Amino acid sequence: MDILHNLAIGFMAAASWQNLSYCLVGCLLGTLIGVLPGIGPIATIAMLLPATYGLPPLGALIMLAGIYYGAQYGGSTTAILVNMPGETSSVVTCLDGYQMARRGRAGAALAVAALGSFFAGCVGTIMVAAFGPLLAAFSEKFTSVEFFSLMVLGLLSAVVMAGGGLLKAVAMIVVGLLLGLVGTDVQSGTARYTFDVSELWDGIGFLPLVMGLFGINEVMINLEQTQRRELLATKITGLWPTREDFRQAWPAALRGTALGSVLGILPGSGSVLASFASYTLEKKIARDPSRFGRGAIEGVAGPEAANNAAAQTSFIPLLTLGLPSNVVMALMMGAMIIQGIAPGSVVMDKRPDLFWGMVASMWIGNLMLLVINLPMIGIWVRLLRIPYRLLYPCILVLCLIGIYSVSSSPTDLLLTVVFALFGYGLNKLGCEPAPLILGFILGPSMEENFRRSLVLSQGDALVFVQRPLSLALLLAAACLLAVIVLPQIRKSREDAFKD
Amino acid sequence: MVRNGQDLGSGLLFIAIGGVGLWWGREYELGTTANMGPGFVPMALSGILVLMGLAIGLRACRGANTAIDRVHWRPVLLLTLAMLAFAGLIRTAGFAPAIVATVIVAALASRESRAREFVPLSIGLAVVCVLVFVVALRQPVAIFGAS
Amino acid sequence: MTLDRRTLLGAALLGSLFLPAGSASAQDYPVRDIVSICDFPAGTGADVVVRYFSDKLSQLAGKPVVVDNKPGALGMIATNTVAKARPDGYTIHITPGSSTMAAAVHIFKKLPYDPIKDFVPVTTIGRLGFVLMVDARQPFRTIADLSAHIRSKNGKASFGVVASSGVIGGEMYKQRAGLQFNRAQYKEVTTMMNDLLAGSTDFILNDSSWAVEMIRSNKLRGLAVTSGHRIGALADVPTFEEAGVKGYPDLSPWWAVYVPAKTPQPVVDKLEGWFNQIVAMEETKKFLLNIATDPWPGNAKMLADLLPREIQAWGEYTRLAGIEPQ
Repeated sequence: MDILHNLAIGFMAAASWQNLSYCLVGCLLGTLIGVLPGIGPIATIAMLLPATYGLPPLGALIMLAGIYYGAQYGGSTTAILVNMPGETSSVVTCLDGYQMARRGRAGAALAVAALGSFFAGCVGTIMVAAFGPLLAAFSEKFTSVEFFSLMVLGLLSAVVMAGGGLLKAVAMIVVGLLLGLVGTDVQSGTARYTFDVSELWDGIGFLPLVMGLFGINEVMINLEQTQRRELLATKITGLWPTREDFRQAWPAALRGTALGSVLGILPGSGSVLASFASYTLEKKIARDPSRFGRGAIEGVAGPEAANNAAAQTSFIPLLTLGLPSNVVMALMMGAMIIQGIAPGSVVMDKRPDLFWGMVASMWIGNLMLLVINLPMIGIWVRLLRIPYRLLYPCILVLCLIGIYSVSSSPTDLLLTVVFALFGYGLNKLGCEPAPLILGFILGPSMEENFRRSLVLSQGDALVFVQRPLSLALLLAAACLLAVIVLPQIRKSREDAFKD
Repeated sequence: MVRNGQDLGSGLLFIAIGGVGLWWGREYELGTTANMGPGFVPMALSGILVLMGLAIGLRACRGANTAIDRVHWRPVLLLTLAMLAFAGLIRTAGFAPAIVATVIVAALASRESRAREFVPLSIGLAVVCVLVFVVALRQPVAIFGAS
Repeated sequence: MTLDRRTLLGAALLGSLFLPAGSASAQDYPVRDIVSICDFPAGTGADVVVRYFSDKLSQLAGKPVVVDNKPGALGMIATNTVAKARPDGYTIHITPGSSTMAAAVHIFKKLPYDPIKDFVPVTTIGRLGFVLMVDARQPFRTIADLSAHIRSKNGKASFGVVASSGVIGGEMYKQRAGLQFNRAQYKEVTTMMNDLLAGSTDFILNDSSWAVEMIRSNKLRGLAVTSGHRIGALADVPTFEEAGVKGYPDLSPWWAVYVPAKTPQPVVDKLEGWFNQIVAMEETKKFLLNIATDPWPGNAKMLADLLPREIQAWGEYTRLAGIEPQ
């Protein structure tokens, strides 16, 4: 078979001692830097990029891919241990992963995250190898119109994951959308809500927002109650997931993998949507949805698998079309150009060893990550035994350095302060921050695609239902809305009758 | 009678945010449906947010009784101060002094902190961070002094 | 009290930090890391150019050159950082000067730096063009074909650009060819591509670095370049003037190197020499060819003469293209 033949070429190229060691070094470095709170894959790759300049092309790409996987897994580790997502897609892992850690089950959460990621990584690699060009053709069908409809569907999924009432959740999404609008308008170039601060012209940074709302806010809350922390520090029950955990986790990982593989190839917010959508799906089909947000293992397994599958398939547009689908892929493309390789279909034809070597190294990288991380779980969990009074100042400092290293701007540090206080207020008012984050991430591209669709259709809003793919997405959104809203209405009517 | 302090508070917060959006967005051009100006989406979202804030606030009058949690000022104020210290010092005094100051101020936020622990911690963390970020990762910051 | 290894190492490290500052003369330059400020986010096409030249510079200068990305506001934030940096040669700026130095004057109402007074020019390094492209499956072979097609759509045609880079080129085409069409702006090239391939837009404009791969892989067809000369890597794509759009100006973005004003002359001379060495390398020619940028060797004098002319010219272009300063 063709694929087998190609994969054989790839493994031959990737399995040399040098390349294996590049892969190992990449995974290790990526994990080590990625676990520093506040430092996600983008910052990690940008910092380590110069280290790959001196390597041969395949070695450099393998090492970078290793760094990427390592950093991504490192981000999940901090999300679970200290409630600090280093990047957009691990925001979801915080929701239940951190709750598991607080219940003394950090080991199980980390293990499930690692195993789920490995499984998804394997499937994702096969997808890249077998259906790369096919999937790329699918992603080409997404024009401005389809993207807008996809964003609508994505935003509605945020409503499902929020506790504390439908209305508040929707309001939080709107706040997120508004925050996302801050910055220079793409169409007209008008600076909006920038209050004459030039650092805001490019919008509010993701890290200040998410670190303020999640990480630092969490430290503030933790310092209020001695009791709550004790829980974190003392009661660690078993490093390994139980058989019951596995039984619950594997179907979730399977569904997450499927979602992630498809959404990962879409440009921009694909991989974020994948983890959010997987969480929504798990919560919707769970027999007891109230477990979510309190440490449900499916809420870790599904999104982590989705996230990692998306990380694999997001290579497809880059390798087949030469179009990077997100910032990390743009960085990879930059590395390829520096190595003298023009990304795109040419790579597959002219340098099959390079293309397939990279595909093979994806799988090897995932395996190494598993080998590195499973023994490290014990170490990470032991970190939680450090008295919190020593741990939290370190978390705070690393977080601030992470923010500063990305932007080199004190303004971003001040924004972090603002969002930490805002998040503390929201916490006191019982408002969940997760929907806000999704609104913030999707807001700009939603507005951009909405307005552009109408420019291209000369103001005809029907364009969103005339294109079949867009119509299907909107219908799915309508179904989701019905599923969410109907029980709420029924419930509130019951409440009314009780009064 | 207001029974739900959390709902009332968040309702007011949403009205305030929407109000800011409407006020600051009033000068942005609205445009037409075929070519929307930069003001269309922000104004629409701000308006929706104000309406939702009103709905949530009104609901507070008949919802369940949930008071706003007590605010603990010590951690909030001291952590804020610690972050401000980092922001203020990193460009003026340098990377290492900023870390030392931040750790010390942050440590004061907890009643359990002891000076014989957090002072060495601050210096140790500064050294480790210098080694990792400046020496190994070559981040462009001055260790001491302005950058 | 016993000192452990970590403490000792820390003390040694801290001690060594006080040594080098300020003591070196321009002859020894460089004695420490050079910071290369980049206008764009890590990983973008422009970032790659900055990283390539920074990497080569560190080989020649014998000290690491650290790239510091300060993206935002079309490079204005990064350029302003350089303007305010210490003039000691340890902050350099490899920048698309046509936009951060020339066009910026006309795009921003309040520019916080003066492109002429706040910088010392080092040299030019390369120049490129914007390419007008159509879906390769469309029948249009020339600008004339496309113009006829646009006319037949009675003002309903439209084109795509990423951010503001190609806006001037497209608006200039509309002006000079006397056409009527709409403009759709994108943040991501992927969506721009998809809209074009789905027929939602009729053509797109993007820089030659991006265009070259799309044209080589036969996805898109290049009909004209905005520069006054053909681009080496795209030799069969004519200029607008050659394609029959009369009076189309020479819109060729260029790359140059700047340092803050008052940087010592010996340091500037050294940098000028090194950068000219880099531009002359075979490897650089290959690298630039790959991203469809033509090497443009120059010197400090030539760049100093170029800038005032360019500022005037880009003012004219932005005015013609109907772009309001903000």
